[in-house]
Amino acid sequence: MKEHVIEARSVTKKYKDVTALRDVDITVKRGDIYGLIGDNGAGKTTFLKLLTGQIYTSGGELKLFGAYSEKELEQNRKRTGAIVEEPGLYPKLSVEKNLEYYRIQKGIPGKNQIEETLKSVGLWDKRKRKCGALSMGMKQRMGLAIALLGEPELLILDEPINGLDPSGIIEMRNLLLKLNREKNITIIISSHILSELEQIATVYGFLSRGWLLRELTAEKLHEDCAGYLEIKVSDPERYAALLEKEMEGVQYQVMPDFQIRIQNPQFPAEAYSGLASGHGIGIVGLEQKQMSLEEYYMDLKERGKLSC
Amino acid sequence: MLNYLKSEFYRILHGREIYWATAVLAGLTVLMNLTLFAFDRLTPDFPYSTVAFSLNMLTGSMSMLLMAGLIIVVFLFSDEYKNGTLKNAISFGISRNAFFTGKCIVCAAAAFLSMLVIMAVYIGGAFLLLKSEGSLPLRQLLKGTAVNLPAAVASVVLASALCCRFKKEATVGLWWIGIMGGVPTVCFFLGLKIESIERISEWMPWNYLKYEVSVNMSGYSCLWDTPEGVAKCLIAGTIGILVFYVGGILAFHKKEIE
Repeated sequence: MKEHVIEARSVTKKYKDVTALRDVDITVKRGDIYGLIGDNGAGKTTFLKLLTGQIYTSGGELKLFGAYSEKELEQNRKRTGAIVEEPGLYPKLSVEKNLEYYRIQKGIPGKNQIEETLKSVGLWDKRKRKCGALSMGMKQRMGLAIALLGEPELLILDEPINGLDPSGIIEMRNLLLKLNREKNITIIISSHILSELEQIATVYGFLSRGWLLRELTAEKLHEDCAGYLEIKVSDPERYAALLEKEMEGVQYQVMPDFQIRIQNPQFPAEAYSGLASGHGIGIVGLEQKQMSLEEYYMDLKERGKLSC
Repeated sequence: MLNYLKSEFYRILHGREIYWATAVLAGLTVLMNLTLFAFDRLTPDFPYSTVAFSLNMLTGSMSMLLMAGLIIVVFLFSDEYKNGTLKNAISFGISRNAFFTGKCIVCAAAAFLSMLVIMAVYIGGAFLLLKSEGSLPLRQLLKGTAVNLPAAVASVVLASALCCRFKKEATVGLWWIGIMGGVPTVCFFLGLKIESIERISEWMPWNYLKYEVSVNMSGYSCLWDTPEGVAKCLIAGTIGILVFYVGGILAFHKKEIE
């Protein structure tokens, strides 16, 4: 069984009158790329700040590499690299000197680490430039370079592709995948750009208004999104009753506008249309669809709103 | 902790802040000596163009030493929140206590080195430009500086604690003035009515530097002229360091970094 790198049990975080996280259970195993998804104010950054020790939990238990006492957490944070919100840089020092500062701080031997790390994030050519003069995208790369110093076992990344240009996004994605595959670095990453997360994450956690709506693997997500049939009929209630009677184990959902969504249809589309027409129910439309991560998230959020 | 100290020294030495702060403060002393020198040339029988008058300015206002501590700390340390570098240190597993302790040590060391340069420029400039009549003013200044070093370090520790606690320089400055100058002043006036407060207020650097040090052209009456006075300065400064350090640790210990 893979080691649990992050384990959050019933973690709650309150800011005066606002509850940013409510009884959140999150597990990140070694080698995972955990995509944290949620709207602004969902609690993503709050969770990452708890991991980095910037803030403290109001309740529950947070473990990092199996440790939960404050002292052990501090010790284990040395095994992590993080960018939370904007990367922290000294604007009057050059790129190279900023990185050297953090190399010394982390106690990493060998100055060659600087060159290697700057080359890996594409900033070697800009090493003499003052950090205050860097563009937002370059600052993000610089933040990643600092996080990568010393080959951490866990990377905590909050919106790391914010401000990157398209080629920067691709480079960042490839770099994260490479680090995960070649060095088995565990990554927890939050992003608004779901299509980006979809390309790298192996596990997803969906947060909404402080609640963890769902945590599932990429395989399970693909299964859930694998496809559905949307059938628009004249009498959805009767059709639903027929589905339950005639097609055992069918998973369906009655949607607005006379629509019924059949998840993972087991039979060809004709079988479902035939069922309706055979019982005198008019078919207004029939469509085979595949759910994207965005749609899955929106759907989950809608259902979350009802249950929260 | 050691790595953190090393990294901070690296940053300070490779940054410009400490050089600027030192240059500005040293420049002010040069400017003062130049002004006295210029007046000596322009005004016949100008009585103040002496080394004694120049050096006595600081000997008689040792609280400037405490303020210099604040200035150096603000120059070196006030942007940690704004730059987001404080959260980096915490994220890398440096405890808040180690961070604060490290800042106090680094700022105190940098302030001390900066003070050495400023004093050298100040004294050198005075001797170079102004008339000298004996070594007493210099001895008084050096002794006063030495015995008030613990109080200056306490000022650095207080400023570091405030920089850990507050994001804005103005807030840091106001709190520093309130604690370092406001509280002793209030205690002084309360002490006129309440004896126990008077005893405490006499041990506050702001008060004893104001009321127990008298320097003018006719002579000196400094607290540090007696062994008891020297001990008072050293003990009061050391208590200040301990109080502000413990206060800083308590204030920063559970501070959430937004």
